[in-house]
Amino acid sequence: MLKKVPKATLKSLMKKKANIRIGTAADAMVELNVLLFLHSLAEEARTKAFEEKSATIKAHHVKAVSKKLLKQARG
Amino acid sequence: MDSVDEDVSARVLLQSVIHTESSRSPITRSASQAQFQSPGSRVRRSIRLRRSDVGALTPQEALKQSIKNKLRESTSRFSLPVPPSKRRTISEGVRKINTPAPATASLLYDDDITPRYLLRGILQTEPETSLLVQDRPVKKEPELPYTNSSLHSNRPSTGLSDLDLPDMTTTVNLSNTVKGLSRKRPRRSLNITAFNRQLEHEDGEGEGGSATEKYLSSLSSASPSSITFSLKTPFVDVQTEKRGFQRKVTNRKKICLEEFDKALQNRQAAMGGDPELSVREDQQGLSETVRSEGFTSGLSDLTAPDITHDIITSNTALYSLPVDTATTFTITTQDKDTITGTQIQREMGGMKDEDEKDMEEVGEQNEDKMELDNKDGEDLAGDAGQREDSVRQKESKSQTEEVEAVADSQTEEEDEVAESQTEEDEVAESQTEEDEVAESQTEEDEVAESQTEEDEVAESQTEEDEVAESQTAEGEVAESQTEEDEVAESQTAEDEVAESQTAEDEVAESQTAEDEVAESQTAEDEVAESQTEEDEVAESQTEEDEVAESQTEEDEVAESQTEEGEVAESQTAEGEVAESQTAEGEVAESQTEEGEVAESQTEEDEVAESQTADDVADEGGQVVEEGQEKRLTSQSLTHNAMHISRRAYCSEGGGKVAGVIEGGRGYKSMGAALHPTETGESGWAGRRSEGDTAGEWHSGPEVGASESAHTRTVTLGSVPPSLLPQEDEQELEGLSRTGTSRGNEEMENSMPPLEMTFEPENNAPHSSNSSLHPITAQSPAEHEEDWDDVEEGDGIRSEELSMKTPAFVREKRNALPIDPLATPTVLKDLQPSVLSGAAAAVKPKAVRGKRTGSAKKDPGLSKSYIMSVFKHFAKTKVSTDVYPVLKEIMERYFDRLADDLETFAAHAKRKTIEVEDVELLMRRQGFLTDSMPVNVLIEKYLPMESRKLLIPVATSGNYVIPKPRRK
Repeated sequence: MLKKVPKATLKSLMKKKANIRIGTAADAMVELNVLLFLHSLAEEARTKAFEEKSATIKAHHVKAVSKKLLKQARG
Repeated sequence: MDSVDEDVSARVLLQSVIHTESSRSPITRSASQAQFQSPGSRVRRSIRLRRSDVGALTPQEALKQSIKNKLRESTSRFSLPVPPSKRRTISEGVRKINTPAPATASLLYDDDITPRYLLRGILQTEPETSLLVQDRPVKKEPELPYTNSSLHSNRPSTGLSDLDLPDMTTTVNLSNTVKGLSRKRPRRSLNITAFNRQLEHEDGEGEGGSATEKYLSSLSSASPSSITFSLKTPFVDVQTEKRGFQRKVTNRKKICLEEFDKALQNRQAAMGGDPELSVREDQQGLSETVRSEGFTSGLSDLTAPDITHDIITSNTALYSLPVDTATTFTITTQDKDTITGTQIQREMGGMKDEDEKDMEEVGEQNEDKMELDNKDGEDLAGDAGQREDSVRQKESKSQTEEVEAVADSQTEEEDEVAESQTEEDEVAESQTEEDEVAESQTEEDEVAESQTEEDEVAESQTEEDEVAESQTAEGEVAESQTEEDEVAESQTAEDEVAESQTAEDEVAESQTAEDEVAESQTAEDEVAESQTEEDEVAESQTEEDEVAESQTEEDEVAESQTEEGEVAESQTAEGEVAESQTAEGEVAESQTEEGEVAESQTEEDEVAESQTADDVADEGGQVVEEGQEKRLTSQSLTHNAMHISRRAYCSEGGGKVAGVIEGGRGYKSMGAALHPTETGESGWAGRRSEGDTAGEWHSGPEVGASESAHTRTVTLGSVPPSLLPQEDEQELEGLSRTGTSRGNEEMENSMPPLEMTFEPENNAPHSSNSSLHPITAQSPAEHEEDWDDVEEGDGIRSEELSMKTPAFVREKRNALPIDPLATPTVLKDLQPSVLSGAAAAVKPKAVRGKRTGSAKKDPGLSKSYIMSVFKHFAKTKVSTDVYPVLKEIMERYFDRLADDLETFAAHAKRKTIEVEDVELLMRRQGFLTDSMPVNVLIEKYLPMESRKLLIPVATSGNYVIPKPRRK
């Protein structure tokens, strides 16, 4: 079961990052976006870890995948 | 020596001398066995007698030795036939000569042994004699009577060497002699090692006796060892023996006297445990001796020539026995001393043992080298064990010597350590017993007893310290250790104070809780202090000059202050500290009011902060538990404690050691003023301080500072009594304060920087005390007097601070602080204290706000959320080290996300980021495709609450929530 998103934190984060107001539903969408991003990140990291025959996802696996995903997440 | 030198090269001569010496030592031992009655006198006599006897013995011995030498020369070991015959004849003649006089039995044995033993003896003696040949012939005549004595000694030894006898196969007596010889042989061969071996044998003998009684055992052991030595002695030339004896005797004797005294003291201090240790040591020595014996026996068994050598050596040893006996006595006495020293060292712990081992190893190596030169391969094996023993003995001797050398400083340090230990023990006791003052006093008495025990521990520690000192800067190490011990003690003292306060306070539970907090804080402070102290110690050590030390100390104080300031901040953040803050504020104000030099003030402020932090912790606990009045009293108590501690710190600032001393003095003054038990404690502290002073000696100014601290403490002591009459609770508090003050003093002693910091704090507590007094509505005059006293104490403290600081700074501080502190401080302190309290309160709030702000500032999602989500999606094990990477990625991701969304919203000419923008972004990111509508993703990933916001749901009444997007 996914943990409940700390909406307050997320909202404050977005408010801080963006200089524009954020719509109410946009928060949920941002949350969805974050979840999707984390999902893709986890998937990629897992595949990377499996490629390296490691049963556990380690920091270097995530780091290796992060560049590609961040590039992919570019709007 | 001369003769030996002539005969052989320097090395050979030395080796021969050593061998002879070792042999002599056994002989002396045998004589000592006969003489048993007076060990000490025997020792001295033995030396003299040995020397005198040596001349007399020399002729006989010389003859024997010459024969042996000839044999050896002909066929060091292997050429049995020719030399043995000659030697047999000669040796028989010698034996006959010897036998008639004192020992018929020996003659009989000799006769029995003659054929085989003579050959063996010849073989054995040959190598040894070779070096000593010239001298030996001359000495032969006198030796005969001695041989008789040696024979007597051999008889007793035989009992010990029964095991060896069977190997010898001849007569039991002979076998006994052989055994002694065998033991002696390796020793002899090892010359240098022989001394050590003799010592070892003595130790072994002592071990046997030690099982029953240490001293008795040592004496008894000495006697058997002497026998063995006597056997050995004959081999060695008189001159060589003299040389060996002189060297060994001198070293050993010196060591023995000092070591004996030390050992006796140590043993007296810790009668219970020490004997056991000695027994153990003795056992060890015995085991060693047994090993050596086994080696020797094995050698004898393996090779007949060796046995003959042994026999011959034993015979010669018998001849030389009388002279050797004296030496053996000395050796035995020395061995005893060494044993005691070794025991103490062993008691001390692994540290010394390690050092000793190192020393022993070195000695062993040297000995091994010598032995190799002199001895044959066969002897080497037996010698190895003996060498080890001897090495150990040597090491113990060296250690004992070192101990003696360091003894004065070490004893002082040890006393300090013991005091600190006793203090700690006292603290524990006081904690339990402190509930009742009377009990605490009685406990203090108990502590005195415990101190005696602790003294033992201290001795062991001191021994360790000595070792460390001998290796490096022994004094510095000891000081650092003592300081560390003091810190530990101070911590314990602080804990005790907290405990005592709690016990004293009726509200045990709340107080205990508070105390715990205070203790934790104190523990933290102590850690910082200990670090600072260590740094200070190192600095002080490096900078021998007092000025340099004072400067370094000041620097250290600044550091410690900074650390303390941090602690204080944390404490204030915790919120316990309204009172402590007020106290700090008061301190700062009082300091400012006092008009001390800006520098001194700044330093004091820092100190005050640190002190206040500490005070706050203690005060906070106390205040919470106690009522407001109780709080006031507790504050006053804490203040008193702080004052004391400050005084101690001040003294420490001058010199850490001095600080310790001052602390002790402060304890004394406090105890005198408040309670007899406390006085007793103070006496202890004073003793400790004295010990510290003696050990540290670093700087006169420090001592002066400590003295001033003492005076301050005295004034403080006067203050607390006035408080006591005011209220019963106050009295209790005063007691607790005294305890606290003790603890503070201890803390101060342990940590000079803290002490420095405490000094300003002490000022604050004084002010708080004064404020408390008015609150209690006590006579203002008394309060003022108290305050004046406090102020004086502050002035002294300031002086101490000045001592810490550079000379010019110090002068300014001294001049300024005293005046301002003396009169104005009382009234001023009260006002400033209040102000400071307010300021302190404000400060913590600000800190809290900052913290909260910082917490808010912390960017990103919570770790638990990110990790949980990531783990959920990963569906595999995720190492914890992923989080930092994830955090960074998420941060970057959010930055880009915000930028993109902002851009999209701007592009849409909106000022609000809407769902469409995010949807567009997701589509660009690839999350949304034609085959993957948004609603599916929402339903898949988002919880129901979020879904409700995004997906319109028709409810009863034809309401759609939320309103469908207008497109």
